Amino acid sequence: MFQLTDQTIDPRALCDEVRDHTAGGFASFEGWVRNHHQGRDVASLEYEAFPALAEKEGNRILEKICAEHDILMARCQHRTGHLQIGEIAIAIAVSAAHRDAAFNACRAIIDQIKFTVPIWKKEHYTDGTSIWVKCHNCAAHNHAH
Amino acid sequence: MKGLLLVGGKSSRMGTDKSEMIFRDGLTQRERGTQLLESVCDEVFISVAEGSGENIIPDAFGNIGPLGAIASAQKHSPDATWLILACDLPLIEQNHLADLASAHSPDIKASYYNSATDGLPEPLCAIWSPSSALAVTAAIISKQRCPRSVLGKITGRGLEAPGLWTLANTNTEADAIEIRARIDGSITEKTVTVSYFAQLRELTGTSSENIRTESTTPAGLFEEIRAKHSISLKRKGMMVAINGDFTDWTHPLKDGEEIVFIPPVAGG
Repeated sequence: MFQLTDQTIDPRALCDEVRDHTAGGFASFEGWVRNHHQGRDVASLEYEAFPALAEKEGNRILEKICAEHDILMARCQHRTGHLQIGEIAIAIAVSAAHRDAAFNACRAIIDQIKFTVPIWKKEHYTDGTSIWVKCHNCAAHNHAH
Repeated sequence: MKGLLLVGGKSSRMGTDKSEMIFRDGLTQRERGTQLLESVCDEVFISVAEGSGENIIPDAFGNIGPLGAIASAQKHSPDATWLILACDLPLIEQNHLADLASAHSPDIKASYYNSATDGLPEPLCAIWSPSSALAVTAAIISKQRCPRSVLGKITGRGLEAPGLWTLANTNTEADAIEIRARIDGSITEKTVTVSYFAQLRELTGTSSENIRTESTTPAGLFEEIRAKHSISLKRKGMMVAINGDFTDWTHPLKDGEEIVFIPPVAGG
């Protein structure tokens, strides 16, 4: 289940949601707001989503990757709104019977989310300027749906 | 004045040779472009990536795109004034070229139309004087291969574009659909709702608007919106959603649909 939230993400709660007695492996990923990007000092980040399609596409990605990697449960939360340095922008929690599946699925989920889920990021710099960040993948790939 | 028809492009987005596509009068774009140039030029040449023959000018600067083709023509005939025309502009008419020719004079480095979408010079339906060759060569030497930015740097004469679609090129299947609709007169009016997020919300200054449009596809609608709000952001690399899910740029727009244009995403 993929969710957008404008509240602080609690990764422990996400972990509890994928707990299962048949699970032998758990993997998680957190994306944090970093204070620098491409040599510039970042003050904060702003995330904006096209909510209906972001959740639809996020859920499609989770379903597809769970099926491909033998995953028991997967959860993902993505923040919207204005985030400060050190805050969690995205958290992913995955449980599986075995560790390989959990690691691989976690990695695949974050990569795919960055690629097609309609969420945009505006970087605010310490010098007072700001820009909407361009995804590096998009220029190189032809999105097909 | 000499005419140069550019047919050497890779047509990579269209996936088929644009110069061989037929839009009007049973003529390929190559044939039609040649006829148009003949109507206003003393002599017409064809620019190709590689090859030789009568009135053929191969690229003399390697595979660097249209600026290399222009430089090759200027090298071929340094004293000539060149009317450069891309082969993928089906809505260009003889009078548009004639208007350019009559606006031009030898003391001007270049004459061109300004894009109806973003106001920038259209370099591939333009007259390039011999005096523009210095700027062309300088750009190639410094590996700046955009003919549009060369025109932006030299003192030329910019004419107002004759319409939003006149200089539209057939880069993609969706472009071709829009252009064919204008040729066969099958355009219909519809009202759609466009919602904007993030960068596009800021650029348009609104989060949603109803638009009365004659576009056939979301690609055409996006060009209208670019012109309306003076947006330089291009469609390449973007996705589009209709009624809440991704769709193709060739989707036939219908009355009442809800459209969201999706610039490159950056979650995570």
